[in-house]
Amino acid sequence: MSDLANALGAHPFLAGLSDVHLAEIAACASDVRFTSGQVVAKEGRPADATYILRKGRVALKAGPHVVETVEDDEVLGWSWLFDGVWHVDAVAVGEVDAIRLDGALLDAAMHRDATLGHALSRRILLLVHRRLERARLRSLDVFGVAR
Amino acid sequence: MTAAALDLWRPVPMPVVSKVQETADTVTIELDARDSPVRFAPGQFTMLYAFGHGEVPISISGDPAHPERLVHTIRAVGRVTNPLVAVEPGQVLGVRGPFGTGWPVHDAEDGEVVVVAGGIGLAPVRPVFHALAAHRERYERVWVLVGARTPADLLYREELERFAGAHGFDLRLTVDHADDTWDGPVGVVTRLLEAADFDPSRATLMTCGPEIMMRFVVREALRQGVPAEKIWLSMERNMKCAIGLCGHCQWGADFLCRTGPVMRWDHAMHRFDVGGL
Ligand SMILES: Cc1cc2nc3c(=O)[nH]c(=O)nc-3n(C[C@H](O)[C@H](O)[C@H](O)COP(=O)(O)OP(=O)(O)OC[C@H]3O[C@@H](n4cnc5c(N)ncnc54)[C@H](O)[C@@H]3O)c2cc1C
Ligand code: FES
Repeated sequence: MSDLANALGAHPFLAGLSDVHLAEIAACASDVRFTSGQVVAKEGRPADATYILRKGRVALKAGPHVVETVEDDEVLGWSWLFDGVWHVDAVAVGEVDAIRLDGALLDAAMHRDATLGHALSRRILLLVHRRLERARLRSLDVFGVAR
Repeated sequence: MTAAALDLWRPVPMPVVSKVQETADTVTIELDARDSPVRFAPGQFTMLYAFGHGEVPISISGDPAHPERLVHTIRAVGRVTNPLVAVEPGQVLGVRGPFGTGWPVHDAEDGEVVVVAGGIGLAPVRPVFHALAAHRERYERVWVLVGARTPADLLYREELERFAGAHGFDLRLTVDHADDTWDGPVGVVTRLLEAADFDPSRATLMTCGPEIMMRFVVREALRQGVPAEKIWLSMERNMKCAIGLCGHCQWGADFLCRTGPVMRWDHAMHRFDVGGL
C-alpha cells in the first residue's frame, strides 16, 4: 500500500477498512498543512473536501464564537455529501497536519464501488450522530445552572 | 471511638484557616481539624454546618494523607452554601462525618484510571488525585478529563497542571464556551473520552458532575467497551441526617448517605430508567 493509504488506515476514522477501500480513498487524498490562523473553510463557500486531521486543532466558528474544536485523529467536513456548502468557518489553531480527501473524487469512488460507499457513509453517519449527541449535551448547559 | 473522634450526631466546631476563591461562585475552605482529625476515603463527604443557617453535605476535597486539614470546595447555590462560601479565616463551622462510600482507588490498582469530571464535580475526585499520586507506581496510565462551562469556571487548573506534570497524569481540559483567553479544546467533556486512547478492558472509570453529564459519560464509556462493573459515579440527593435514618437521601432502595454517594454503574443503572427517582 502507498504511504497515504497506510496513513489513512491508521486513522481512527478509517481504521478497519480493507486495503482495496483504502487504496480507493488514497486516490482522492493529498497531504495538507495549515499554519496557525489559516482558514481551512469559510461559511457559505463550496464544501469540496473532508479533512482527516492527523495532528493539530481546528476551531469551528460561527462568527466570532468557537462552537467546537476538532482535534488530532478527528475529521472535519462532510457537507460535500449533502448540500455542498460549509456551515461554519474552520480556522487552524496552531500548526495542523491533515489529509485532504477531495469530495468530488470521493463521491465518484463511492458511486463506482457501492461497498466503499456503504462503508464510508456509515462512518460519516457515526460522526454526525456523535456530534448530534454532543450538541444535545451542550444544549442542556449542565454546568450553568445550580446543580 | 476516642474522645477526639467526630460525633456522628453533633457537629464539631472547627476554625477556618484559609479560603481560596476558585471561581466567581466557588471557594475552597480549609478547616483546622488537628483536635479531631477526619480520616476519610476519597469520595466521602461531611455535613458542614453554617451556624444559624443550616447543614449541607459537602465532599471532602483535600488530601486523605492529611486528616488534620479538612478541605472542602463549595459552590454557592442557595440558603446554606451562600453563607458557607462567605466565611472568612477565623470563623468557625460545624462538621459531622465523614460519611458515605468512596472511590475504588484500591480496586483500580494495576490498571488504567480514567477520571471524568465536570464543574464542581471535580471537588469530590480531587482526593483521588492525591491518592493516585501517593502510590503512582500502582497504576498504569491515569487520565484526567475535565470539562467546565467556560475557562473561568475551571476549578484547580494550576494545581491539576502541576499534578499532571509531577505524576504523569494525562490531563485534558475542555470548555463548553471559549473566550479570548482560551485556545484549548472547545466541546463537551464526553469528547475528551472519545479521544482518549486507553484500553477499556484495563480501565476503571470514575465520573463526577451533573447527573446528566454522568449519563452521557457512562454511555460513551460503555460504547468504548468499559465494563459496567468498572464504571463508578457519584450520586447526590438532598441529605439531612447522613446516617441512614431520615430517608431524605433515598434513591430507589438506597439511602445515598450510606450506600452512596459513590456507586458502581451496574448497581445504579436501573434507577435511571425510573422517572422522578
Ligand atoms: C454527597 C454530596 C456531596 C456534595 N458535595 C459537594 C461539594 O463538594 N461542593 C458543593 O458545592 N456542593 C456539594 N454538594 C451539593 C450541596 O450539598 C448542595 O449544593 C447544597 O445542599 C445546597 O444547599 P443550599 O441550602 O445552599 O441550597 P438550597 O437553598 O437548598 O437550594 C438552592 C438551589 O439548588 C438546588 N439544589 C440544592 N441542592 C442540590 C443538589 N444536591 N443537587 C441539585 N440541585 C440542588 C435547589 O433545587 C435550588 O434550586 C454535595 C451534595 C451531596 C449530596
Ligand atoms: S440523609 Fe438521612 S437517611 Fe440519608
